[in-house]
Amino acid sequence: MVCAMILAAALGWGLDDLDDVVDVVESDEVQTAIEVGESFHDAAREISETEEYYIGRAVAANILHRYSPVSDPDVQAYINEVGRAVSVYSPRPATYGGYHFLLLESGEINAMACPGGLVFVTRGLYDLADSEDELAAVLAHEISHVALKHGLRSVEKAKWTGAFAQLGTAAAERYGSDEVRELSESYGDVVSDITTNLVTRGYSRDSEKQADSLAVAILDRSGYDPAALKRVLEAMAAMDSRSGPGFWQTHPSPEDRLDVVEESLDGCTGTPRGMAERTARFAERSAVDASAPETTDSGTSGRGGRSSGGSSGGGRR
Amino acid sequence: MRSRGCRIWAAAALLGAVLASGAAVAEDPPEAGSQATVKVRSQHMFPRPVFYAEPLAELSFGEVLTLGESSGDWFRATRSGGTSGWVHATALTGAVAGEGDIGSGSGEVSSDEVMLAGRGFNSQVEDAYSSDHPELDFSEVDAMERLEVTPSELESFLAEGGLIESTGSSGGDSGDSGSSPDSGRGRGRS
Repeated sequence: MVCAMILAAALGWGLDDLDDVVDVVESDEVQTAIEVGESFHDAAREISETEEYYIGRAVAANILHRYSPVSDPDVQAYINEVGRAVSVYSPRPATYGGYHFLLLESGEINAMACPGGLVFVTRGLYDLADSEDELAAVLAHEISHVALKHGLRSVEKAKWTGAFAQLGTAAAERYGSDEVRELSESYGDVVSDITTNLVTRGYSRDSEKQADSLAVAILDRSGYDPAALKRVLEAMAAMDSRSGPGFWQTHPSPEDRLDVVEESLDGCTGTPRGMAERTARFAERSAVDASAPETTDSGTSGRGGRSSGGSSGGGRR
Repeated sequence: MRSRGCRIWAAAALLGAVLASGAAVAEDPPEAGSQATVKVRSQHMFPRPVFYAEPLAELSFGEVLTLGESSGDWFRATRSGGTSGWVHATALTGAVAGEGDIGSGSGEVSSDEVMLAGRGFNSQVEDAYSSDHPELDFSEVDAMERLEVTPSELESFLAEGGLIESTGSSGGDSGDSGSSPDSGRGRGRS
C-alpha cells in the first residue's frame, strides 16, 4: 500500500520516467521512510503538528538546561535572519510554531534541531564558519532534519506504541488528572529519547546523509552557495582535535559526509552571486560584543580570525 | 533524464509524502476547490506566492479558508470576510474541525483531526511535565520563540545579501509555478 502511495506521489511530482521512479523508490531515503511509515501505521496514526510542537518545546527546554544562550541580541537576530532565508526554501517552510534559531555559548562543535523547528547552534560551530553561506549551510542541514522529521523518527517504536495507546483512550478536549499524568509520562519518554539522540547518541548515518543531500538542494534553491556545506565539512576534517562532546559524538566523520555532499553538488545548476556582500555582512554581524565577558575557550578560534567569545565545553549547570 | 538535483528534491518531497501517508488514516492534504484549515499557530496571507511580500492578513490556527487555484505548493485562499491571497500548503490541512469522529478511540481518525480537536500532547501535558521537572525553564523556550523575522525584514535581508533582485513589495521574484516548495527562488537560479 505504501509503495502504491509512493508511485502515485512520484507521478504527482513529475517523475514520469519509470527509471526515475524506480530509482527514487529504491533509494535509502524512501526505504527508511517506509519503515517509519509502517511504524506509525502500527501505532494507529502519525504524530500531529501540534504534538510535534510540544515535544520539540520540551526537548528544547532540556537542551537549554545544559547550555546557555549567547547574550548578544544582534547575533541572535542575525542567525534567525539567515535561518529564515534558508527555511523558506525547505520542503516544509511552515510548522506549527515556526522555525527559531538560537546561538549557544559553548565551544563545542555542535548543532541540534528539535522537532517542530527549534534549532540550536553552538558558538564553536558558528565560529568554524567563515561566511554567511557556510552558516546557512549549517542551518540548512538542521532544517532538513526538521523537515524530514528525523527527531520523531529517532524515537524507539515501543515508546510511540505506548504513547498512542494512551492518546487514543480519552475523548475529551481537556484530560482528567489521571490521564494527564499518564500522558505526561509517555511524553517524557519520547522527549528523553529525542534529547539523548540529539545530545549524545546522534541520528543514524542514513539520516545524516539525507539531511546533507537535502541541505545542498535547499541551498541551491535559496541562492546561497551549496558548496558552502562542503567547505564547512572540510574545515571540520582539518581540525586537529576530534574528541569531546558534541559533533564528534553525534555525527559521522566529515570525510564520510563529504562523499555524499560532493555527489549532491553534481546536480546543482545555480551560480551563486552576492557572496562578497554576504561575507562582509557575516563579518560585521558576527563581531563579538565588546561588552560581553571575556572567556577562555578550548573550542575553536574561528577560521576567519574572529574571536570566538565562546565558553568552555558547554556545560551549564 | 532529469538532473540529479531535481531528483534529490523529488526524493525529499516523496519522503514528505510517504511520512504523511504512514498513518492508518493519512493526514488530509489541502485541495484546490475545497475548504482547508490553518494548522499552524500563525501564518501570513501574501499577495504573491512568496514568503517575503507585504502580508495581506495574518491567519490563526483553526481558521477555515476556501481554496482556489494552486501554484507550486501555494494556494490562493479566501477568508470568510472575503480577503483573498496566497497561503503555503504546509500551513494548511484539508481537515475541518468537527467532521471527524474522534470520540471512539478506535484510531480511525487523521492526526490533523486529532490536532484540530485539541487532543494529544498539548499544553496541559506540557504543564504536567514541567511540574515534574522544575529544573527545566520553559520561559527560555518562550523567549526563543519570540525571535521572529517579519516578511519585510526577510525581504530586506534577502535583497541586501543578493539573494533576490532589488527591494520593495513589488520587487523580488514573481514566483514560479513549477514543483518548487516555495515559489520564490534565489537570485541567479534559472
